[in-house]
Amino acid sequence: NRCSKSSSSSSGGGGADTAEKEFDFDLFTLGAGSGGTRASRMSAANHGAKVAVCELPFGFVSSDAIGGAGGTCVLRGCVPKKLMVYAAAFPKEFRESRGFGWDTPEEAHIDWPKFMTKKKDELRRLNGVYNRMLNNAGVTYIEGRGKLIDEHTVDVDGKQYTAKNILIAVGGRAVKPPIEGAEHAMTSDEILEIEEVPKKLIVVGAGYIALEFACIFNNLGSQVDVFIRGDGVLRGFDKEICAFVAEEYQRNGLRIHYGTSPTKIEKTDAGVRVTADRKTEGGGKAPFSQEADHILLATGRKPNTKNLGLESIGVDMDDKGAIKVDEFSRTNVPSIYAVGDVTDRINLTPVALMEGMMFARNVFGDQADAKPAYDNVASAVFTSPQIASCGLTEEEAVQQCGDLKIFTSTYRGMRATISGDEGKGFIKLIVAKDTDKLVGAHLVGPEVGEIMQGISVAMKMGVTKKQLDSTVGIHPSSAEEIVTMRDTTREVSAVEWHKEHGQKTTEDNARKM
Amino acid sequence: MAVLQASANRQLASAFTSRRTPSTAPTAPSQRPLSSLVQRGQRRAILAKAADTQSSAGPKNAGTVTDETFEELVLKSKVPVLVDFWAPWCGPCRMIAPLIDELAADYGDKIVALKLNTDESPGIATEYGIRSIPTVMLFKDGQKMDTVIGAVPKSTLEQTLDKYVD
Repeated sequence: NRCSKSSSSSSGGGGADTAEKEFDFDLFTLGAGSGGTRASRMSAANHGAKVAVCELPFGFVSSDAIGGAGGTCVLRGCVPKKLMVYAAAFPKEFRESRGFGWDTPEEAHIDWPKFMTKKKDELRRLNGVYNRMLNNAGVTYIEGRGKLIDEHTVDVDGKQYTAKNILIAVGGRAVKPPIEGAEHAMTSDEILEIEEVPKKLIVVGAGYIALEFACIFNNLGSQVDVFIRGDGVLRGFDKEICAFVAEEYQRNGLRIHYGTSPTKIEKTDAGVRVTADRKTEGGGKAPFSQEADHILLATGRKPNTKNLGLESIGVDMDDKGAIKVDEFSRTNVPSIYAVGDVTDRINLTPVALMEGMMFARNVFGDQADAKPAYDNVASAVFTSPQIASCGLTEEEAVQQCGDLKIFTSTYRGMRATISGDEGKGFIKLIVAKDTDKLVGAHLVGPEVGEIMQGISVAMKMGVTKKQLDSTVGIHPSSAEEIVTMRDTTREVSAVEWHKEHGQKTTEDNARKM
Repeated sequence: MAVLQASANRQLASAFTSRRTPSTAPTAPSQRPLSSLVQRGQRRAILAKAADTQSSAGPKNAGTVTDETFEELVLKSKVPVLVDFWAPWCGPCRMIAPLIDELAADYGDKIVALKLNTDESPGIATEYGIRSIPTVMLFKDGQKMDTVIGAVPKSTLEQTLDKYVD
């Protein structure tokens, strides 16, 4: 029984001896980002809980003292990033318009400060929206840095509050690798505030954050070099997709350096001077230097769990600093929960929203079985070209689902026949041979970030390839290809795959769907 | 022999051909009359300035190439040309500089080894898309054949050269 209202005597939450105690709040949330705001609002508005949330003062570049309602997504992630993606997409449109006969001038210039002012205004507006949402839901908003004193007490800048339940939703932050001179480099926070379009930019990292920024500035006309430590882009994505997009990125002008790691960053009058090592065939290193206006370090993010008092209370964390939680977002301490990036599950806003919502239903809505579901979570990478994925990669699918049928198609959109765009798109469907279920869908091309949503609904409902094929396409479109892929491109045998990858096929590897 | 692949230097050509031969067809270098010691001295000075080579008595060092001399020294070379793109502020470039000189000595007349300072010759550096330095490029018959980035060991450069050297 998870009845957790502080005024009733209950057997849930903090134990029998706290049953009679009056707490200031039913719930105290640390962090008013995606997960924290959703959880707080829902708990208060839908389930009548008395809720407080604390959040750092608003600012664009985050730190131990700066944050703001809306969190990473609204202020330093998804939203400003997508606005930049839109701003940077126009030159390509202008170029292609000439193919269609428009007399668009050869050179177009962006008034970057004008765009940045509008971007900042939009973020301030959204920050205000988040504050109003919390206020309208009856949530007490406390500005300041929250720290746990004990499992029912939070200190915010010297003032203490007690709560029956505490929810930690402080998110994560960009982390710079320990390179000499890293202080001269930007992280995603800073580059989202950059004052002018750089002529030369070095981006370090192979993940979607690194590549999205690399493509944004490449599209804006910067000379962009990407330094990647490994030998591929977008680790964790389907390998065939990774190879396809890497080629498209380079065709678009991105220069990707594999086996390359920066070792030193120096500041110069013009920008930065970077020394890096490049892996050679013999397994050695060849150092080189390169100058740029800026260098962006986008090699990883870590949960924001330092100096919250978690260690002294004994909240379990993993070696990355992520708070360990169970399927109900509970930590090892009965009154303490955690949602969002701080738990390092799937670090996407819609997932944090789901985790926050389920937390509210479970803890305050008496839905004992309410918990987040992580299957078939679709996501998009807003590089040029865009990528969208839902479900499993081929590598995951062969281990979890056994034999597979793979359907792929490379296409050049109809628009390109007139515009002259040389870019290609790619569609990949992964079907489990025994059930005919679509277990993985991966798209590369224009607008796939929008196209994928419909497919993800079908996948969540367990759509089969036969059902897909029975669906009539929308014509003319790129998306219709998805329902017209009749011929299997290739089959994957689980037994052969395991032989090649030297793993035993065990019962545990049977499909987890 | 002081007559390098750079014998077609424009300044030189105009000094020695247009005044001496009435016909408009260009005369091959071996046929041009070099009638005076003064003119020979001038010619040697121009070639020396262009290619910065030592006398044939000592070991051959890598020469210098600039935006102005690139076409003559690299693209019009009869033998493969190794170009080391470097800059004074580049630490790893200092590691590879002596290797280029060694290769110049090792391969003798089979190649031309040249160094290009990208700060002083940004035109060629940009034209060939030089961003990371040192970058070593190998040219044959006026075409870029290979690119090696970074302060690689001498053996890597030798492997590259051996693909194109006769």
